[in-house]
Amino acid sequence: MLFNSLDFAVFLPIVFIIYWFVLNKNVKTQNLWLLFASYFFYGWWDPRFLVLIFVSTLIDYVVGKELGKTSNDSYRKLLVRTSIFANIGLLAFFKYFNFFVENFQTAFTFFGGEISSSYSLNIILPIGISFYTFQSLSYTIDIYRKKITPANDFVAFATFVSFFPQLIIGPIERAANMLPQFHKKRNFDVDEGILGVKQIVWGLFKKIVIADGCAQYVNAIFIDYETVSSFTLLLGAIYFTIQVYADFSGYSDIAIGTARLFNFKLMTNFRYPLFAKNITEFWRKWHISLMMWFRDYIYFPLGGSRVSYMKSIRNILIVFVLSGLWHGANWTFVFMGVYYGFLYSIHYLFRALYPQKRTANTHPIIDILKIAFTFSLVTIGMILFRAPSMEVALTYLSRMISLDFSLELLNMGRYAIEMLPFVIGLLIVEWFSRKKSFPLASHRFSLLQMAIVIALIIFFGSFSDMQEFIYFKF
Amino acid sequence: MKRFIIYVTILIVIVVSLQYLGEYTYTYVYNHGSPRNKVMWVRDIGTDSLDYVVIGNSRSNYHINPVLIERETGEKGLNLAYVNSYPFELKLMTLEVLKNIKVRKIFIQVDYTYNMEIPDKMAQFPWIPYLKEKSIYSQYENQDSQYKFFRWIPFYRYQYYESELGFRNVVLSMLGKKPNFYENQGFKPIHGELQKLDVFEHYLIEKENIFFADILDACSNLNTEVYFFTAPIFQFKGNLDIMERWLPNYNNYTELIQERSLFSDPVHLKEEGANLFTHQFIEDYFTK
Repeated sequence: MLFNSLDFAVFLPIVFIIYWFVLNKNVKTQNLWLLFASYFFYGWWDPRFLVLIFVSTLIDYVVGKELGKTSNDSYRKLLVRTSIFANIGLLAFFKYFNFFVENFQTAFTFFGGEISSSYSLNIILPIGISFYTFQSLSYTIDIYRKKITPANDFVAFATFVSFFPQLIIGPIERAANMLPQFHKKRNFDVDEGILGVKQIVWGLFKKIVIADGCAQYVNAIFIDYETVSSFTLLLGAIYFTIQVYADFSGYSDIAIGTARLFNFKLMTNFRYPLFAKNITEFWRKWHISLMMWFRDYIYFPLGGSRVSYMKSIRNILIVFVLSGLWHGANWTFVFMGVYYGFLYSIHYLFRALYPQKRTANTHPIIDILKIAFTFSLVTIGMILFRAPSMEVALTYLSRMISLDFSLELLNMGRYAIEMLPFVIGLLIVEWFSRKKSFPLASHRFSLLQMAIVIALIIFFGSFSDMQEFIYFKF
Repeated sequence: MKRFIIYVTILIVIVVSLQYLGEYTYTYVYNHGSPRNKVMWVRDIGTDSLDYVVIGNSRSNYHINPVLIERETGEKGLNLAYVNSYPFELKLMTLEVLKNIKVRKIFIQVDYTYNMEIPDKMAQFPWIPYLKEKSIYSQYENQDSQYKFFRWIPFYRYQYYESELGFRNVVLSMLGKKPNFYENQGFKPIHGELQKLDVFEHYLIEKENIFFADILDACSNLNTEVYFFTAPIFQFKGNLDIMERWLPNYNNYTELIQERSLFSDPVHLKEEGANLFTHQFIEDYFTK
């Protein structure tokens, strides 16, 4: 079920009304209702894959309970490895099986061998699997590390794994933040509820007006990348960066806003990353829940930055390559990870070698130049994200820098520059709101602001070209 | 909770009000503004009578040049064909023409889309502003349940076709901006070079299409002559001639032009090819 669909517009009020008006006396029945609603929400897409969530949930619940009972180190290791194997195994099979088989075949053939191509399978990627397996996995690892205690209530735990607002594309929550919320008595908080509605509307605006609006041009430009001018290619790359941001952060806003309606607090997933002044800051503000996951479960165990420079850089590259591969089974994602890891490493070394630069106050113009430079670097990486193959990505990049700046634009009934006022408008609004959790969070002129945003959605939203959220396929 | 319900209710009122505001504004503009597509053009034509009109899809939109016909024969007509029009849309356009213009001859381009019996998603957008009119809605209502949503949810139809009927086109219509098909009386030449050389193969199912039967009935009631034709296709292989069984006055020009350089793609002629085809059209329909 898409957040930007009529189905969800019917589903959400029903869940809300029963949750607060019928089941408000008992936390356990509220949890059970949320679990039912979450499974219904997921099953709406394909009920077969509910089994996967349930199996993943059951394994981690049982492993968690066992981890809580025993202090035998080798048994604890066996348990946590079982959980890792089960979760990563599911992910590896559904997401990477064909990728590895195909690349193995290519390598084998390259060295003169012969291998049948019948080993690849027609596998459907279960929606949201990269998110809920990571969330579930973090629970058992945290118990293993004795950071949290095991859940005693299976329904609460299952609801934590499948909580519908963040089930499909996050934020990837931690048990330490979420599980206690499933146990405490929940009373409706009017201010939180209103804030939730505002955040949902803001998320819808970013998705329907900005992301889907940009998508029309991005799709056309990436189809015609071999014929259009470098100016158009540049515009296409910028639009795609904005599209991904608006799409993914829009989803996160809707998820966080929806959770607020049920009195749950989800973690912030984006903190105005387009205004980052360097690549390190960008990755601290972009898809925060995933980067924190990699930091806590990959980077720190490898030694983080408390090792030699070379090893630190190795750790950074490992994290970024894995995060690239997490996005999808394609070499473009691997190289995207390498690219961002390389940039991050350079900045890491720069900061290590010139520590005094970190605290220096800079002129606003310098800050703007830094933001523009960081945005440019990010945008280049986004071409790897969007391109279906490395060949397309490299051709796109080489043609983009060929300096053919003719003002030829795509004629698609509308001209590509028509999206610019919306993109610039979004950046201006976000710039002046960057100290708030989201631009509509203030109380001043609240209703007027909402009316304007709703009018923009109604009159400028892309309803005819409604797109799935980009991260659905991850 | 009461404050929250009031807040949400206010937002719902805002949404509904804006939907109605959009519905009335857009419908008014598409009924009174400057035409932005050929359906609007027919409804706003301001001409009592014409010698002929051409109806069809892109394969007549790009191929028949009324300016050339008028220059060589003095016959006044319009090319009312538009991209993606399938038999359902051809029927709608024919009925709309008969309702608004006294016309002597109607030429209808038919081809490998002959068997299509449903509206085309892209071709239906010019009709969407008039969907609430009984005569239009009666054609659509049994085709798909979606039209019921278009009919009853205010402004939804304009939101669904936002890229074709949205804010941009409303403003341009209000400002009186005319689209480029005005210049050539509906004809729009295309350019580009034919790339692929594959044989274009299509076989029709031998079955009458009810939409063409309706067209013939409507024209015969008003004593309007109706002619069917198929425009040239590069290296075509198929059975288009079977249409002769159901379509009177049918001319198959599929193989008339086979010069590769005159095609933009296998089913569309370039301007030079279009003019060549129009000359043959003149000879067959206006000088004999």
